[in-house]
Amino acid sequence: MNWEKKVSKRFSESSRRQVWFSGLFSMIGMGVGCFAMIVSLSVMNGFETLVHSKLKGFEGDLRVSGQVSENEISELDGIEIVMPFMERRGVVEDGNDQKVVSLKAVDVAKMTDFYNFPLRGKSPEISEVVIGQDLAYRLGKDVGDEIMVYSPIDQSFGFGLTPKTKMTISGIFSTRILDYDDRFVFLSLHDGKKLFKRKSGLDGIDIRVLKNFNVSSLKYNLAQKLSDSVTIQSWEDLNRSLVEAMKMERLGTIVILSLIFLVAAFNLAAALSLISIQKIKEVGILKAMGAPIESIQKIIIRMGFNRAGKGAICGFILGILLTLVQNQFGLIPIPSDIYFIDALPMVLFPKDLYTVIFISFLFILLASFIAGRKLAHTQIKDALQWGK
Amino acid sequence: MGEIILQAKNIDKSFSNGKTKLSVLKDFSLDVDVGQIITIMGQSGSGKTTALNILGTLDQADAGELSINGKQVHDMNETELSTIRNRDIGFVFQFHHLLPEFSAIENILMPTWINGADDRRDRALDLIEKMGLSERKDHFPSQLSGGERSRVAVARALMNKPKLVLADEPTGNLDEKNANKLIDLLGKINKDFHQAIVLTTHNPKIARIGHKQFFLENGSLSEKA
Repeated sequence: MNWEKKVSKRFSESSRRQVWFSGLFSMIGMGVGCFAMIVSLSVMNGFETLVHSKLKGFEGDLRVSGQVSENEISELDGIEIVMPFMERRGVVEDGNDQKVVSLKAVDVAKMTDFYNFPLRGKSPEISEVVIGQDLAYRLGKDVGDEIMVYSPIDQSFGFGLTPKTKMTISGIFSTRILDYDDRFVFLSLHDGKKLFKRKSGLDGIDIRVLKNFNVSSLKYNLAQKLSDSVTIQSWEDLNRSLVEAMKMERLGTIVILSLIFLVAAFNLAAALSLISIQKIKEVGILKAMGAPIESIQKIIIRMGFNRAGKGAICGFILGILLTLVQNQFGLIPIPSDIYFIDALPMVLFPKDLYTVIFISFLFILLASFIAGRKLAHTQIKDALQWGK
Repeated sequence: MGEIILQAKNIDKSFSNGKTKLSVLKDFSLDVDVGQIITIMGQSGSGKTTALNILGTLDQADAGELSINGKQVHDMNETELSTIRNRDIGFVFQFHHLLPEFSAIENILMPTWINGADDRRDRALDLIEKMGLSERKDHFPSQLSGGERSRVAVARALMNKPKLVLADEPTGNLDEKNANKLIDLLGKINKDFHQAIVLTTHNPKIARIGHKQFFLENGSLSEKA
């Protein structure tokens, strides 16, 4: 055992009774801070993962926009399935009710394989559409009902009424993400080509990547293979503002929860300052024997870690345990009609654990350093005369 | 003349208390040879402790030069001063200043721990035996008598085999019997280990052990004829 460790252990033991209260508070504070941060981050991760999987379930992992053939893309490694599409702002109408929507014409044969969302009914065939549940609710429609669909931008200029196509609702989907359930209407490519008269071909192809295949490397391979006229975007690129908002939310959570650490750090600094005052003479003796300033700092820092570090480790372990138990047994329920899952999702990534460890250790280090700095620089003769 | 282990030249030291300035040491000069015992006698408040603090680098002089083992103290940074205090100087204080959290043997070992040297428990046991404290090695300072604590402090000062031992009124807190015992011990150490000792005291009887005896009066040092 190195001597600084030995001295800090003995100093801690001898001062435990005097600074029991503030020492305990700093320990509990660090523990609560670690626990709260781990639980909050894991819940955020859980919901983020849910949102990400829903987004990917709706849009795929990558989107190639522009004139490109399906065969050209399908040859590449790592692709699970591709979905060619045409997309246009259009209108759905039921009597006097009109709603501006995104008409998305897709290869209906692949629809159930590509899209990963609950669908009541079936995929659309010719003259059929699949609409979101919010839109169905607004229009008061259900599976089997009919609506009018048209694309104003594709109508030729001139006099007369805009031609409208009557289509049957073959299915109603529910994603519960952003405004997708209110905005999107799926139809077949056959109907799309008829409706979007001004379009010369596909708008692009959505790609779902094989599990565990690196999306970035496929994106790179696509960029190498395809011409510069096409755009390749990941689902993160397509939802940049949402992804950024989630990152900000995560940062905000970390900053706010760090305040718990800050309060615990104040307690720790107070406890260590109290010990420092009690140990001035002993520090003077050590310095007279040749102990350098850095060693005195190390002793105080070790005392800080000895107190608050135990709390931090306990909070850390409890947080991980709660996450594991929740994932295993689903102790905390959430309404499944809103989230499509029964229990609160909790996911922990290694980087979050490192973040919590880093922040808790940083606060302990800072509090101990500040508390020990003055003590380490005390003049030896003054320290030796302390209490005389 | 032997090899000089400590040389103080024209040291001045004063303390300021608001408007008044109290001069404690004036033109204080002292040479200490290897193996020499120097005693400095003076009344309480004459500046003996201040002088020893400066000679031991525990305090800084306002003016003058100090060299220990041939090295100028003035040019050293805090780390180098710590090394000097650990390797070249052993301190024995009036109030023993043992660490209450550590046993006698641990107190003695502390300078070697700080030094980062290998475990030198054998030397510590040897020293504690020489001090007649073998039975008390695992006792804590609070379990030792005043005389025993002083002897532990002496053993601690000798642990790193320093060339210079500075003893600030080591007998000040002891009864006559224990004081004589400690002084005999210091004399024996000087003979056995050939360490230079600078000892301050206000007791003329104790001052007699010095190869050279000095008086400190009004901040000035003068050698006894």
